[in-house]
Amino acid sequence: MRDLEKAFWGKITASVTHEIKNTYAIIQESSGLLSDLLTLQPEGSLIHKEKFQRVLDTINNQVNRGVILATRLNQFAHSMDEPWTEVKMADLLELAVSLLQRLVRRREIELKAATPEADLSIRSNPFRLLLILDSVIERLPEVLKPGGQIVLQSSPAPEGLAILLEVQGPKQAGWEGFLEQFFPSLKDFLEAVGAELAISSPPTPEGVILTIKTSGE
Amino acid sequence: MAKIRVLVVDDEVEFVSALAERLNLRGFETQTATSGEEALAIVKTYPPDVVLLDVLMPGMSGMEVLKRIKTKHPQIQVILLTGRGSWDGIQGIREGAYDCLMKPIKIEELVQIMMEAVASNQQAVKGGG
Repeated sequence: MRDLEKAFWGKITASVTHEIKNTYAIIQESSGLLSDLLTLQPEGSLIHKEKFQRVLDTINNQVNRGVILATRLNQFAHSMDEPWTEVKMADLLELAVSLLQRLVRRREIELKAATPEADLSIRSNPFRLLLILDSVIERLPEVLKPGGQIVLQSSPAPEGLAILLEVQGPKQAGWEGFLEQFFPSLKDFLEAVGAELAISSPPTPEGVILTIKTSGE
Repeated sequence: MAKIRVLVVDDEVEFVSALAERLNLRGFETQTATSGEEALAIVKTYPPDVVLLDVLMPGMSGMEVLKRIKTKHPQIQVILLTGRGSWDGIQGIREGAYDCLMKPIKIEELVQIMMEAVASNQQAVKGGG
């Protein structure tokens, strides 16, 4: 996607997600008002009072869920605002997990971000970093059996920083061979978008750590 | 003890009416406005203790309303409500807002922040007197 097209898509998506959050705010205040009024009803004066409250709680929980989704989509849209900007890695990895989790969960694999040891930031292209993470994470379920985990973590590296993808859990048979086939094609793609991918530790039965090295602008 | 006066400003009519009613149930005296211009007119004739102000409104923006309120009525506490993100909060607090909350808001959190805002104003008045 060219920069102008990305900026257009980002602007419209950010604007619409803002309106979606406004809609959720109205639903939440309206259901909150109903809940308040329900609380004021004397005991025994309203049949199905508990059922009403349960339904209102469900509405509230789903509003909260929707707000999180809309917020993440809004952040993704804003990742297209500036081609190069200061990227907080903890925020980026949290966003990546939130956006990509559903895709790997279908294969019964969990994606999560490890708690960062320090606040790491780099001047980079957040949209491009998310694209790289998606490209790698999309292929990893092919080597992992259901029940496995992919853990994302950022760490300082000599030239910029590294994003570690730790692949934990039982692997598919022949997974080492698969990685050997899979890395070169991905490596070309990563180089084309300005990053490197390397196996930073040899594959073992315990797992593998992939390193995406990015040196910024 | 006099009720705390709250002005709720947002271009979404359903939002202001539901939120105002919830605040009424919690003992606040509320007024509503659905534009910046209407809000400034109310502030002039019936100054509230706290203004809950949406940032992104058609016509006069919440930031512009905030600046005008703080210029003429610095004692009024303004709490911004935004659906956009932290930048509104940073800019708003620079312009004199007491706090900035992300929409949808949690009513108990809002009430607590409003009480803190009013208390800090009362302390400032005592300190100044």
